[in-house]
Amino acid sequence: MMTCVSDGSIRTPRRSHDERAAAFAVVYREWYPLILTTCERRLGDHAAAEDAAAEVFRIAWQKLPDGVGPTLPWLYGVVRNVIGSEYRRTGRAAALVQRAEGEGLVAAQPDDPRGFEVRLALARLRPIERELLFMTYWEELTPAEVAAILKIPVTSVWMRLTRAREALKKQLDRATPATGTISGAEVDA
Amino acid sequence: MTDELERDLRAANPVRSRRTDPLSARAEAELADLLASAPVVPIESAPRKRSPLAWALAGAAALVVAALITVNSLNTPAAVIAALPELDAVPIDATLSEVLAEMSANARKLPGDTTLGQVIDSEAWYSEITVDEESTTFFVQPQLVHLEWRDDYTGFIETRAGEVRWGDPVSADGMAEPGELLSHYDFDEPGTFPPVFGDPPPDTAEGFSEYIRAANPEFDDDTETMLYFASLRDIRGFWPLTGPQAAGALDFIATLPDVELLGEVTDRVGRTGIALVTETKTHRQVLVFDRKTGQLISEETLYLGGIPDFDVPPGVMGFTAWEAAG
Repeated sequence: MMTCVSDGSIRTPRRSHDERAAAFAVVYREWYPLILTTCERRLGDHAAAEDAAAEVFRIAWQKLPDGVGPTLPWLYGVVRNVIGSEYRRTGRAAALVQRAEGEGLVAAQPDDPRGFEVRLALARLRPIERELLFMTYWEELTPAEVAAILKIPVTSVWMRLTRAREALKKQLDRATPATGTISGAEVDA
Repeated sequence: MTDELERDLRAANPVRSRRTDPLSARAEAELADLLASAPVVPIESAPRKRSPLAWALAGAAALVVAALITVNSLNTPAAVIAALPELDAVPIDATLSEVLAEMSANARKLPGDTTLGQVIDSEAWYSEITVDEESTTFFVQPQLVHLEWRDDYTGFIETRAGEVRWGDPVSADGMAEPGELLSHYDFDEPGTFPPVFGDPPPDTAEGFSEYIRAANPEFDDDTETMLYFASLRDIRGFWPLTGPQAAGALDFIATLPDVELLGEVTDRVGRTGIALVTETKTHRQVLVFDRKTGQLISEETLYLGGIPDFDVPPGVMGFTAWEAAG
């Protein structure tokens, strides 16, 4: 028997291999698309994101104790480590990870002027503000999920989201019309 | 609630993958390969205790977002954050177990009726610090959070700016007019309001242990008390505890290790209470209880330092004060 709990994780009793495999499959099907999405957002490349997501779940399968399925916060922690390893593998210094994410964001296909303006404004936000907006609007995380990942109260998520939205509005108000180039983008990491 | 900014944000998402996508053929194949293989780490020997490094990383991530600190220079003067006073505790003539038992007994005398659907008012702040070449600004402006939800899990959360409590804003940039509406989120569809703990809290120590672990299945016998304190804070964020529920929470605290009695304090909104504290290597969490009712009235978090590459000096990072239930 499996029990879904409020943060979406799965609790299972002990534990034959088949039972454990069945529980893991449930978790995998539940979270894989989200983990792939967050990997792609960070790496800016779908194929690389598929590799990273595969590594995340390989680690989950190998490392998790029996009886308790991976929680979303746990998986996000593994994503951070895997992405960090990917940056190191490709020669990007860890200190530049956040800057690279911002640049990758702006470099994303500017197929419409408004979208480009918004991405440019996002890239100019502080990383902590950008992350909250990404998690909420691009990764479709609920406030409870964001709170669990960041280990803060849900009400704080709302407050900080308000701040991040205000910061984005300010950037958009300041923005000059997009030219379709990225040479002028100043990414504040 | 969807507004123009949200629509623009979602439309600007360049990522191809979506959370709602079905598994690709590659993902299905990888799952099959995993399940056909044996875990490398034996189940019984898998690590269960959070490592200090993991704690530090998690703490750093939480702090970075939790504090929303603007630091435009890595040379942040320690005095900037130190300007925010820590709670001044007066020792009391009782042991931790005695004061917990006393508050629990007081709480159990209070009404025990509980219903779904709650109104919660709280005041919270976080540090707002700007350090650059031209000026250094430090002030604390609380936000007033009004939260209402009903038994069908509809409701709303409204946030307004409070009065500046500490510091002196050099400019109006970043400061809201006290009383100004900062946000209003409606949850009109039944089932959409997002309490972390959706069921009413229990009223025994054992019940609280199960209640918290059900929402945090990664918790085990080695989980640090800090995380249980944080769970109690989250529960209080959505439930004004009845007397028996408050007693259950206190009885649960009495079972936890690494809890210290700080003493009697005056919380950030001027109320007297009993402060309990627990620490990790990098953080301290304080819970403040009303001695007469056993109700959790305030919480606050301090950064103690020690996280590599997190160049912010130790200090109080934020707090929440809940208005009395009812």
